[in-house]
Amino acid sequence: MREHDALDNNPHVSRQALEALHGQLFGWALSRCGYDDAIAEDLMQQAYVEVLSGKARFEKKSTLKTFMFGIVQNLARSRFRRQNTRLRIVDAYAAEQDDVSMPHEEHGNLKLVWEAVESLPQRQRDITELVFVRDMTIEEASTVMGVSVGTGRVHYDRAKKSLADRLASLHPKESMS
Amino acid sequence: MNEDQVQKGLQDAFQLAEGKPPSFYSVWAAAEARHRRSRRRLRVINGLVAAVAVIGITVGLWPGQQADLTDEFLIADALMNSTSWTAPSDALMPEHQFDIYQEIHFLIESTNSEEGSLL
Repeated sequence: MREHDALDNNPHVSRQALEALHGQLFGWALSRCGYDDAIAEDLMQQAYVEVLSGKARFEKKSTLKTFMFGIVQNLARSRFRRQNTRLRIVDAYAAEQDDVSMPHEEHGNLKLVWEAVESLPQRQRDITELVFVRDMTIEEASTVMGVSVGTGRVHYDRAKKSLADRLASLHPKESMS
Repeated sequence: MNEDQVQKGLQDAFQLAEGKPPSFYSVWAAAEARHRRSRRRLRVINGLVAAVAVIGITVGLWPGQQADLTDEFLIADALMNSTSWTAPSDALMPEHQFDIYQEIHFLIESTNSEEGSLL
């Protein structure tokens, strides 16, 4: 059945549904490119072009959210594979800047939480973001990341344990279940 | 810190890091313009490919055949006027071999048989 306000080349995708996902998707795009607003916006445009042109076709095999997050993930991956050298330079620059984009000085605990997340390996960081921040299930997050559910679960457990250890100092009496 | 507190902390930290997303309408409009541009570019490329194919076929078919036919007749004429001929495969022979037609000017032929064999 065709959605209301559906796209010509993607009958199961509506503009309204994309608009509802926009904020979350932009956050995901940002974290894909080291919090560079311009690159994230470009990734978003590319993702929308993929959907508009029908190159990426939504067949309701997953949720629209998982589908769109997957597109952004794949676009970012192929973009940075092409620009690998440039990315390394960007990474080196970002490391030198010492998280200048994170105005956490006045948010003590948030800064610690952020640092704990930043210290995680990439995949653990991704699954933490998808599950805790983007409200996805481990299955959905694994689909977006392109790993099996089992692997996703392992990353999730390790990330949770690692975060619990690092954040234990904030409230030592309570522990993460 | 329990799981709920960690989740709340993570959500707040990410929200702070992300800031305000750009308006959906501006990103969408830019994507639509990009899509239109790429469709137009694709149409131009297809048109060019089709034009090159048509030109190629036309040039290939038009004056080429007459020249080929003339060449063929010229070669046939040259062969008719020639008095000697060597097989192209002669070049592959290591040295000059006995050529029955060159070495013996006439062959004795007979239709008379002798004990069942031709003489």
